[in-house]
Amino acid sequence: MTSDDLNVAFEKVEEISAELVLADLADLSDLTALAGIDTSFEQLHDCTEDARVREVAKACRQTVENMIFRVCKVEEGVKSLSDALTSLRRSIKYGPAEAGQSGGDSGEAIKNDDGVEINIDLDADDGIEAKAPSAPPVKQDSDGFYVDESKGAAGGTRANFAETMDLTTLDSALLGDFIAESQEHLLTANDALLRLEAAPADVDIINELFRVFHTIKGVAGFLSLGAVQALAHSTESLMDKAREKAFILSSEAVDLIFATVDALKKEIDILNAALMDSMPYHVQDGMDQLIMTVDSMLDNLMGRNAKPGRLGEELIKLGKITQDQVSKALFEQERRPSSKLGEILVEHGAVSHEDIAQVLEKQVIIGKAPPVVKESVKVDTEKLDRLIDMIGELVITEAMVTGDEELKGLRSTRLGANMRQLDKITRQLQEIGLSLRMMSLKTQFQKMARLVRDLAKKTGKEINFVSIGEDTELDKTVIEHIADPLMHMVRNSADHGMEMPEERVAAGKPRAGTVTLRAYQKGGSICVEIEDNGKGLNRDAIIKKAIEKGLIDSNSIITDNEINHLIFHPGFSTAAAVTDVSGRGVGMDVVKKNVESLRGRIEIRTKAGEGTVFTIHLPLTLAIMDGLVVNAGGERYIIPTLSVVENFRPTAKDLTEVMGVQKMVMCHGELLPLYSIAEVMGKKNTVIVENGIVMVVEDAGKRTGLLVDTIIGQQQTVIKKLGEGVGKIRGVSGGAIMPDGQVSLIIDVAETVKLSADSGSTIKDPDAREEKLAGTVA
Amino acid sequence: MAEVAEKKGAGLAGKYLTFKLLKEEYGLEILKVREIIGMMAITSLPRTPLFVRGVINLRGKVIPVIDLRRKFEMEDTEDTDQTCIIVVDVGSKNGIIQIGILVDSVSEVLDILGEDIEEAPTFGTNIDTAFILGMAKAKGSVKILLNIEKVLSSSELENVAGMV
Repeated sequence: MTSDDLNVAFEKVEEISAELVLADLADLSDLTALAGIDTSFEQLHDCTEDARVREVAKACRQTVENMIFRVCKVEEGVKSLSDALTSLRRSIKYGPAEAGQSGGDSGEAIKNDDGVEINIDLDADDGIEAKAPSAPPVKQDSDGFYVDESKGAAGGTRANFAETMDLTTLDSALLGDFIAESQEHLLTANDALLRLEAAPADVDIINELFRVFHTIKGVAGFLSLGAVQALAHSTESLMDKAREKAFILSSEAVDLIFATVDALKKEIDILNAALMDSMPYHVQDGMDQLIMTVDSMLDNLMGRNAKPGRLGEELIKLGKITQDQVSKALFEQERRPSSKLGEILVEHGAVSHEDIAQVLEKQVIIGKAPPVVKESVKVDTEKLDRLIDMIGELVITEAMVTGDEELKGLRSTRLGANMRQLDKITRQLQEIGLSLRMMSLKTQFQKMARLVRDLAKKTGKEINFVSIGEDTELDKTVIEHIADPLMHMVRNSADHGMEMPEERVAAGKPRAGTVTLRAYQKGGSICVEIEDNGKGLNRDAIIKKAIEKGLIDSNSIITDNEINHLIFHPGFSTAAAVTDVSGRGVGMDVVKKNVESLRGRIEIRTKAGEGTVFTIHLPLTLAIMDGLVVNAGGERYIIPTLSVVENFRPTAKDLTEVMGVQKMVMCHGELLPLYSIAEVMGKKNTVIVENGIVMVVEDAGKRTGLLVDTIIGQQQTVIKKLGEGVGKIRGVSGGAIMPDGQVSLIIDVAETVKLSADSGSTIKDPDAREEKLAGTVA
Repeated sequence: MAEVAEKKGAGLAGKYLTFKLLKEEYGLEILKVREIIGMMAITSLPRTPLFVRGVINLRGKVIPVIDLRRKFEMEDTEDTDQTCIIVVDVGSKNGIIQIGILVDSVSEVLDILGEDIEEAPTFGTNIDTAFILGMAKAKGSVKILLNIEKVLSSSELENVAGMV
C-alpha cells in the first residue's frame, strides 16, 4: 500500500463527491449524470488495491445501478452514496477506526522541527492505514493529504488546507456562482439557526442546515477551496449526527454553528474580494482552530449524549431526575419493549405526568408546512432595467395614442373598445414591470434578529426582538441601501436605547426590553420603524452636546423635533463611552444621508423613560416616484410628494419681509423663509406671491416655503438620470418623462432649500407684462 | 512633413456625416453617429454652461443636448425646421454614452479619401484645434472633420456642471 495509491483514491473520492453534489443540484434522474457517476466509481475501484476502498466502490456501483433502474429512490441513493463517500474519505484520511471522529484522539501530537504541531496517525489497523512500521512517517501536507515526510516540510500549520491560493486557475464564473449561492445559503442557515435556538430538536431545521453545509462543502471541494470545504464538512458531520438524533444540540453547539456560519461568510467575502481584485486568496486566521472546535464538539456531544433517549436527556437537563433513574428505566424498558420510557419513569415515581407532558411538548416540532418553493430565474439587472424602461415608454406612447384628438374624432366603438383593452394591458404590464424589482424585507429583518441577539449577549442586556411585517416588499435597490442604516439604528436602539436589566427593574420596567422592527405600507410609501422601550433620547445631553459643538446657541429656541434631529449631525454622539458596538458618532449622519439618497426621511418620536421610535419613510421603489407637477417660471417641475408637508395660497397678511429682502411666510403660526422655485432653477419668477402657491417642505425638522405658480397635478413618474454626459446638477435629482414625452426636472428639495438659503434669494415680482405672458403660455 | 501629413490623412479616410453650422461645413465620423432626430422640446438645466441646451427624451432615455454653435462661440440664431439633433456615441469613463448635438442642418454622408484630408492648420492661440481631426476637400468645398470626443469630453461637461 503506497501513499501514492491512496492519494489517487482520495482524489477520486473527492472528485465523485463533487460530481454527486453538482448532479444533486441539477437533476439526478438524468441518466447521463448517473452513468458518469457509475464510471467514476469504476475508476475508483480500479485505481487502488486497497480491499476496503474496492469493496465500497463496488457497493456504490450497485447503488448507482439501482438508481438507474429505479429499484431505489434517487434521493435515497444519493444519500447513501454521499454517506459512503464521507465515510470513505474519513477512513482514507484517518483510518477506519477513526471514521466519524476527528483524527486527533488516537493520533499523537508531536512537534516537528518548526515547532508546529502536526498529527500523525499511529493506528496501524489492517485497513487503509496499514502502514508498514518501517514506512517513513507521514504528515498532512498543505493539500490536505499525506505525503512522505522525506519529501520535505510543507506548510507551517496544522491546517489540512491550502493557506493561499491563486484563484486564476479556477473558472471565475463558477467561483462567482459559488460565492453568490453560498451567501444565499448562509443567510438561510442564519435564519434556520435562529429558529433552531427555539426548537433545538426540530429535524426539519437541522435538515435544512445540513443541506446548506452539504452543498457548500461539495462545491467548495469541487473548487478545491480546502478551508471552506473542511469547515463545512466538520459542521455537516455535526448536523448529520444531530439529525440522526444521536444527541440534541446544546446551546453551546448552536453558538458554535453560528460562529461557523460567520466564519464561512467571512471566508466567502474574502474569496469574493480576492476574486474581484484578482489577488491571491488567503484563508482567514483561526479556520483550523474552528474546525478542531467543531470536531471536538461533535465528539463531546457523541460521548455525553449517546446513551439516554431524548426524553431522558431532557428530563435530566431539567433537573427532574438523575442519570441513574434513567438508566434503570431504560434497563426495564428493554424487558418490556411495549412500554414507553415516560410510562416507566412515572411508574417509578421519578417524575410526574406533568413533567413528561412538558418535555414532550417541548419536543413537539414547531411544525409548519414546508414552504412552497417558487421557481425563479436569475436575470441580469441591466436587462430588467431596460425592460422597465421600455414599459415606461410603452405607457407614454399608449397615452399619446389613446389621447390623440384625431383618433378620438373617429368615434368608432370598435376602436374605442380596442383602445380600452390596450390601456388595460399596458397598465397590467406596468404593474408587473414594477413588481419585478420588488423583494421582501425578510432577509434584512432576519439579520437584525441576529444582531440584537449577539448584542444582547455581548452587553449582558436582556432584549426581546419582535419583527412585524417582514413580508413587506420594497425595491431591491432600496433594500440594499437600507441595510446599513437599519443596522446602525437597531444597534443604537439595543446598545444606547436599552438599559441594563437592573436599571430597568429599578425603573419599574420588566427586566427584558423589547426592540420591535416593523414594516408597513402607508399610502405610496413604506415605513420601517425601529421601536425600543428603553430610556428614550436624552434631551438635555443632546442640547449640551450641541452647544458644545457649536451647533446651536445656548439661548436659541428650538423645537423638540429639531432637538431630536440634532443627533443626525456628523460626529454627534451622546454616549458617554465609546464601545466597540456603537458610540463613535459615525452612524446616524450616515443613516440620514443614506435614507435621503433614497428620497426617504426619518421621523423620531421619543419619550424620556419610555423609549424611542424611529420611523423611516421610504418610497416604494426608486424607479417610480409620486410627485406633484408644478408650474414655475414657465416650466414644469416635479416635487416629490414625500417631501411636501402641505400647500396653501398665501394671503397678503401671511407675508412679511425681513430687512426688505428675505420674504417670509406665516404658516400655522410658524414663520418660514420663502423661496421661489423658478429663481432657484435659473428662471425668472413669473408670479406675484399672493397669486402663487406656497409648498411647505420639511428637511431635518426644519420647514421652508417654496413658491410656485400653479400645481398642475399629482403624477407617478419614472425617474431618469439626466444624461451621463452631464454631471450632478445641484438642486435637481433627476429627470422625469412627462405624459407628452417631454422631460421635466425633479426637484431635490433638501438641496434646493440649501441653495436658496446660501444665495439668500429674494423673490422679485414679475412686471405685469411678463406675468400676462406667462399666463398665456401656461 | 508631407509624408507625415499623408499618413495621418490616410488613417482618417472613411465615411463622414456632414452638417452645417452657419455657412461652415463640418464632418463627423459616421461610426460615431447613432441617429439623427428632428428638433424637439428641450428642457433646460439650471446652473450649466450656456452651450448645454438641456435634456431630451430619447425613447425613454434622458440625454443631454449640446448646442454646437454656442460651444464654438458662434452667434445664436433662431431654430429652423432644418435644425436637428445628431445623437452621437461618445466614450466616457462610464462606458459609451449618448449625447445629442444641435446643428443647423444635416447635409449628406460623404466618402472622404485619405489624400483629400489635410492636417489641421495652426490658427494661433485663439482657436483650439484639438477639436479638429483634419480638413477635407470634397465636392469643391472644405469640410472641417471634428474629433467629437474632444468636443464633448464628458469630463469637461461634468466639471463645468459641478463647479456651479
